[in-house]
Amino acid sequence: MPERALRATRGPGTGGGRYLQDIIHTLDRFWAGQGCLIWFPYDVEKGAGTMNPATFLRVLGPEPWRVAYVEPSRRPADGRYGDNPNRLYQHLQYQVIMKPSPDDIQDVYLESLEAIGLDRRSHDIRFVEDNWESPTLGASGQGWEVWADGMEITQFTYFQTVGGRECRPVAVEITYGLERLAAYIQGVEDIYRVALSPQMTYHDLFRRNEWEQSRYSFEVADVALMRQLFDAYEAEATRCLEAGLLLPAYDYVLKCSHTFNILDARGAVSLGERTSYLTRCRHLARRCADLYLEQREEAGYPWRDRWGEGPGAC
Amino acid sequence: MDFVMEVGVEEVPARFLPPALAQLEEMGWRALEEARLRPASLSALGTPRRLVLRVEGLPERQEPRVVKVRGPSRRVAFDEQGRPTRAALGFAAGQGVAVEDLVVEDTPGGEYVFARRLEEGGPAGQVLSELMPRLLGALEFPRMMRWGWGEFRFVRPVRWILALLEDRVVPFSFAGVHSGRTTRGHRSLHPGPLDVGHARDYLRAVTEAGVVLDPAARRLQIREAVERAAARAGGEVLWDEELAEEVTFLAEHPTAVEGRFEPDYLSLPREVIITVLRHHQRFFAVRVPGDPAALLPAFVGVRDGGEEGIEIVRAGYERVVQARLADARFFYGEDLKVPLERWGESLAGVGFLEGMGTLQDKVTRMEALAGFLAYSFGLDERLTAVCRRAARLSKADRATSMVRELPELEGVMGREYALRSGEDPAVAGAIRDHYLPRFAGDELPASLAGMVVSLADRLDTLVGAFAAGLEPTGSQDPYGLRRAAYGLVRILWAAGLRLSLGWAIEEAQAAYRQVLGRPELAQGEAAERVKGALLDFLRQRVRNLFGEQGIRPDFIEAVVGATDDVSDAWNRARSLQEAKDYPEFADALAAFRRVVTLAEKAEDDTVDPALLREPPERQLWEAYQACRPVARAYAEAGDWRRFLAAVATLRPAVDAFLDRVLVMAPEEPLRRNRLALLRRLADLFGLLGDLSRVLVL
Repeated sequence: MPERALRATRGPGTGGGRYLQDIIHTLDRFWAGQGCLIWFPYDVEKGAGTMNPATFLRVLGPEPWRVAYVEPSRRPADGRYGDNPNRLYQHLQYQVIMKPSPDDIQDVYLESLEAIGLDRRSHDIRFVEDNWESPTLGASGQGWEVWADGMEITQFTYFQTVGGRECRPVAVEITYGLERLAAYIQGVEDIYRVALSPQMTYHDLFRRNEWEQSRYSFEVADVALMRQLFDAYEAEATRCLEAGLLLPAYDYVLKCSHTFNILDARGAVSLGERTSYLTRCRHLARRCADLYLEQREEAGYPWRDRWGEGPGAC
Repeated sequence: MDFVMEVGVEEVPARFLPPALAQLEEMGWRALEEARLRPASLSALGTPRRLVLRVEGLPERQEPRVVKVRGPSRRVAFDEQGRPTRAALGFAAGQGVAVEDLVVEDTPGGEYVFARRLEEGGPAGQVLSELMPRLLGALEFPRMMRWGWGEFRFVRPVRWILALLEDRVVPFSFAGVHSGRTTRGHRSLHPGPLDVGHARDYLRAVTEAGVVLDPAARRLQIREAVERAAARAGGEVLWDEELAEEVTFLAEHPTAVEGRFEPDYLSLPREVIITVLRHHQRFFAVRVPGDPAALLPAFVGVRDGGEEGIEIVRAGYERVVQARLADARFFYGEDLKVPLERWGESLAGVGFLEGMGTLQDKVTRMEALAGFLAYSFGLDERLTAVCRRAARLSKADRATSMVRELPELEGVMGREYALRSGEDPAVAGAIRDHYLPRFAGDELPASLAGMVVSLADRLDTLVGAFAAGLEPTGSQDPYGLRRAAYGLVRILWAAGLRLSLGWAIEEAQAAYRQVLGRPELAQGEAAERVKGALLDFLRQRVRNLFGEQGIRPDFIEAVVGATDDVSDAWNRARSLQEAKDYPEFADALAAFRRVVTLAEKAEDDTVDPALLREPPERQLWEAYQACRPVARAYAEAGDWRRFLAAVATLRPAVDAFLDRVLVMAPEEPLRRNRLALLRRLADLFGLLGDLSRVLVL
């Protein structure tokens, strides 16, 4: 057992677990108690948990939905070769969707912090304005970043539009930054010293990945190939859409988005091209949103009443 | 009676709150007055989580009023004998008045019958329950949102409403929430619901639940607490009004927390430390007592909550500050790895205004424009080179990591990095200064080179924005063009720099043509239109500036169209302004104005001396010929004070002419000649400005 990991566990946290995996378990239990389906990361590269179909598609349309899952999110341009303790190529998000947003959602969220050891009386918990926009997804929302003792630990967003469609009912998205949260609870300043379990640290598991992915995104990725791939993925997404195949189409939209991010990190995208790439992604995302809405309508919105009764009804 | 309404919301953005409370107070007054429920006092208070309207001394009922209701027309209401018809009887009964009390009045649509009756006022509670939801619905915020099922819009989700008139709930519903008597305390100090029995108990109830409701009280409390905390840290707070305003609207129960960071970080530029603390954390910097320039390795933050766990909060604050400063030091080190000029090269990837190229294109244009301006102002070769170099490097810091992270450090880092890259200190100073003035009343660039680069930057932005059709409309000015134009005019005015704005605009347009390779930006109808519109736009800023300097509005109007040179216009306006205090001036002006008015009838300005028959006209002609070269020389030199003195010598001859010579003589040649003489005079006076605009007071 590495000594580093053991030292890392001394921190200000009081309740719940202290290893990153304990935090995930605690949040799973907590949000399951709020009626959330405990879901999984999606197996296509993406920049944020928002792009998991369990969020991007399910927040559309009239059907209620509650879900929580961990999402490893890749942001090629944020890679720092494992040198910077605060910027990562890949980071872990804990994503919660509650649709429609419950009236007491802020209190519920504060209780979730208490469950992982951040009690509101002895910490300074603040909701600081931060509105969110994703040009790739044609999405925007309003809300806050949540600060605990001056550190941003969560993005808290009421979706207003997704895929160019107005959200009604409105879903609230709560995205915990797991590394930072764990670092804070464990009392370490360097994310790489975060302990995931008694045996493994973030360093053990991800440092090599950070270096390799950074080197790939900034230096090695084949720009010409990435451009070809983008075009090919876009064409394939379009073909799938025309065949009425939503999920395969959406997979290729995610691939377009990630390919664009690599090109961007590689410094291969000029100003004019950037706009054009983003427009192409957004256009596909909109078509997926529209197709999803059509499919749900055709199916007669079968999940309409799933969260309509019993405790936690909204 | 006392009334209180509290709208409980999820955290409203701090910047929205002061204007929202001002609206609530103003609209609250107006609504109550219009509803004939004038209170003794009314105030709007609030925190991030609640908007509160407190009203005292409310009457129990609306004031009664006389209402006049129009009924049928007279012909329908009364028969030929003047007896009331059934229509009149029915109308009177419907209005609850006797038929004899109906009156007939003439209206634009003919004669009609009216009923007047005294309407009793409704009870205050009933009126308030109709008024309040409308009042809340009328509040405007820069951004609104939806939540839950998505049926309502407000600045943030509404979670509770308390509305009490004395001890009774005023029932209404807004944004899907029903009013009641329940409030909530501070989020951590008193998280549960709290019932309030009476409107006058409300303030005490929320205060006891940890909420400092009055923003003014919160602000005072913050100031005192922050000063004490800074003293505990061994220093003095670097007070920042803007930050204090924001912090006031970020907390319901402010408590100051001081913290420290590694003294090593003090090797960072002072502005970087202050900005990191303010921008990222909303913390105040702490300085060495008695030494405004030296910082201590300490800060003061304002927590929302009490003393509990304050050591944990302090440790958290210190950790974050330390991490932020570590980032800043990292950026600083990275940025210094290459000279500033190299950072400037990456501006090719940063867009300027839509369709107007990149920031690199912009600095290329600015460099050319700075050269032109330096030449116009007669700067020597060395200073011209400084201006051009500073323009070239003016935006380079935007590409650096520090400025990308903390945009408010633009200019500050430019100067710092320029010095570290071995640039001339004059260049470094001009890089920082070219952002000045940032707002009305802000300081101006300290050096001439700073002014030149600032002018070049503003001219370039204005020309580009107008060409792209982005000129401001109404109160919207997303690109800050009014501010840019005002700053431009203010620099020229304050430094007394002589510049034809028309030429400068043409030069800026030429730079666009050259750099972007688009001839239509400099030639043709569209370019002419841009120039005209921009000149008008700048003229409006000149009006504002001169007005603020106390120049009489009619003098401003007289000179503003006569020249496109701000300093020249200023000298003209000031000569008029100074002359107005001499008693002869009013008389002279009256005479000049008559000349100018009469001269409008002239067909040409050819004076035939042979036709000058009367002595006064000959004398005027001679006086004019003597005065003209002198006055013109003063005009050309821009010495308008002497110009005015020179033309004033014409006054006796003008008076004599106007008194004794019949201008509109019946003989056509004589009339024409006299009018031509007046035209010559008017043209001479007109060198100063459009005197027909000057009011004779």
